[in-house]
Amino acid sequence: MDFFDFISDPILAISKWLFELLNGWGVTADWSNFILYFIGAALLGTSALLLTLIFIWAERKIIGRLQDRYGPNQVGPWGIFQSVADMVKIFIKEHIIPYGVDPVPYHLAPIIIVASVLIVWAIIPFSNSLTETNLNVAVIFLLAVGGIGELGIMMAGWGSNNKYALISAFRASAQMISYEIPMAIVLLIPVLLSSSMAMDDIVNAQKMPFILILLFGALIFFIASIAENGRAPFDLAEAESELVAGFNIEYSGLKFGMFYVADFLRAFTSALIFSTIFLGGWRGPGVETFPILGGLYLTLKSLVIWFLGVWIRGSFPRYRIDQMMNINWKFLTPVSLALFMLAIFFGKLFENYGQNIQYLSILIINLGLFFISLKLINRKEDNLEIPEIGLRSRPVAKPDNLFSKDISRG
Amino acid sequence: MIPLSWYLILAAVLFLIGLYGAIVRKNAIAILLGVELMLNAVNVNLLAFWHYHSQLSGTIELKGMVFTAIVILAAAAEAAVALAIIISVFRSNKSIIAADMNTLKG
Amino acid sequence: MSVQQLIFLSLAIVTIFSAIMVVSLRNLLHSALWLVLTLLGVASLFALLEASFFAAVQILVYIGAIAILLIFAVMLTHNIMSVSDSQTNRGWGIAIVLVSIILIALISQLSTWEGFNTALINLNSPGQETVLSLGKGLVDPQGYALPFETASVLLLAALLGGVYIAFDKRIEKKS
Repeated sequence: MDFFDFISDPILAISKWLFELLNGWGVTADWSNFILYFIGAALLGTSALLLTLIFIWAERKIIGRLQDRYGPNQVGPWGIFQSVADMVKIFIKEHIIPYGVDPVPYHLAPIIIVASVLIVWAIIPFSNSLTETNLNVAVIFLLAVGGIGELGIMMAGWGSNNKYALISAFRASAQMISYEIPMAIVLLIPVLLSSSMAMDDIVNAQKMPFILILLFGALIFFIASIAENGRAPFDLAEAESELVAGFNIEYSGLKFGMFYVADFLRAFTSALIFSTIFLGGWRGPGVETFPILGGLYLTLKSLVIWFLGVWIRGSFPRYRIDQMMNINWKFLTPVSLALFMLAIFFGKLFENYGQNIQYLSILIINLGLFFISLKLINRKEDNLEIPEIGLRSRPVAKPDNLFSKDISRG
Repeated sequence: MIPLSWYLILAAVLFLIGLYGAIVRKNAIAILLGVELMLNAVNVNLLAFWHYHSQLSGTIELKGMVFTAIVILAAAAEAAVALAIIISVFRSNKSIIAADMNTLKG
Repeated sequence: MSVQQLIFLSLAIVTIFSAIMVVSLRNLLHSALWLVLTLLGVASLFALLEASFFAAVQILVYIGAIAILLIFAVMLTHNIMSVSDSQTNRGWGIAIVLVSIILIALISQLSTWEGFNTALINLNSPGQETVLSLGKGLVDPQGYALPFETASVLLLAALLGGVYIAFDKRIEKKS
């Protein structure tokens, strides 16, 4: 293998070389494929888990700056070794196992939750030639492993032998199950536009990235994936001041570290999925000659989406559980159903006039639905009666001059 | 390659384990677990025969797939209704032993 | 022994072991968790049979919805049967005998069919062919549109019925 092959696509070159090596040793093609898949899976999982350390540090720094403070800055220049220090701390903490705990769910839950996040990395196409497995039902697979995550949360809540952990686990799994529905419905539109459920085909069909066609759909998918992840503003289930820190209250040490890792890794994984389905994945200038650039483009796009998620996390207050359920069942689900039906109907109607007209019609429907739903929400807010509690009208405190730095205002 | 007989024997064993569970257990929810095992064994059987017939005829047969889809749908509907009934009976009788649910009243 | 046969054997052992655990454990929550493992094993068998759509749908529907519903129900009716009571009724010996007889009869009668030992080779259906034909068949009026629509009416009826049956009427009586 010459140098150019290696530079343009290192991973494919290495795997070809390993395949030849194993064949030279007399291993049949079947088994050497199996061994290569195994090595690839192990490497992917390990590098995903190690990348989480960088993401945890980056997220803490960014949220710190958003909240007008430095993030971690003591351990190493700019605090980059903070995650390593946290890791060491979590490793050496004592495993406190409460009395009366059900050992099977209690110990399995962190493993299942981390597994359900890592498994998604298997179907993401990292470049032209590099997907761990080109599953032909990848989109349903995405939704299915969300279900396994819910199972892990229920096991964590039940196994903790703690009423509050159980209530919090019920709430978290209700939230995750509910927000899968708009995700699934909106995910069907790119599937229909690229007539395939495989991630490779969805990326290949995006001569124009789907976000330019499906603006509203991408927004719904983004909100639903933040809620599915359990991040702010939907982090009722695991926030520190809610229900005594939620379903992972009874976990200490490495098991809590697993929940932590799953949370932050899931943020980046949702960003990867969003960029693959809506932003065009590894597409960009120059990927035909240098497939390794595809991985770079995918990483950059998903870093932008991830940063958007962190920005939202640092900016919005938390929703209550009934507000969260209302957002899903009274807004996101009907709107996504309407969007799906209209987009597919008009997309099929204009299919014969060429792809551009089809995309234009779907874009118009997206924008139209967006403005209609904004109008409906605003009208609902105008009609909302805020009940007056108490018989006399209470004085409302307001400052005299908002823009003066005078301390004695109000 | 895997012979068809292996799949059929596996489906038969799963079905009979589910049948044993549904016959022998006292708890109503445990009976439901046995029923779910039986439905899954039926699905394995259906898809094994689907593969066999698709292989024989060279085209993708529809019947096996549609039947499997309907069985999965029916299992979901039946599990939901059965659990609703069990919880409702549990509220009034405070017992989930299937043998105790023997009066039509209440 | 090819790779596929080895994978099938390990999946079969996991599935059957989990099924035995489902029907024999005292603790009902552990039974439900072993059922989840059985369902995962069955989903992997579907994937081996090249019905990849059904593997994903099995995980999505069975594990993501039905198993979670079962676990909810187990948690809501917990501590009623104490764990020291026997959880099988008196007829378990006869049940084992009956089940073994049925198994032996079934396998021996099936093995007389001449297609019993045909090796299942890979159907070379490219890409989305399987799912595409299933989709077309389910909405084709000459195909299976009627069972499809009937099944959706069934789901609607089950949804409404389930909500109505499990509705707690005491809340209404209080107010």
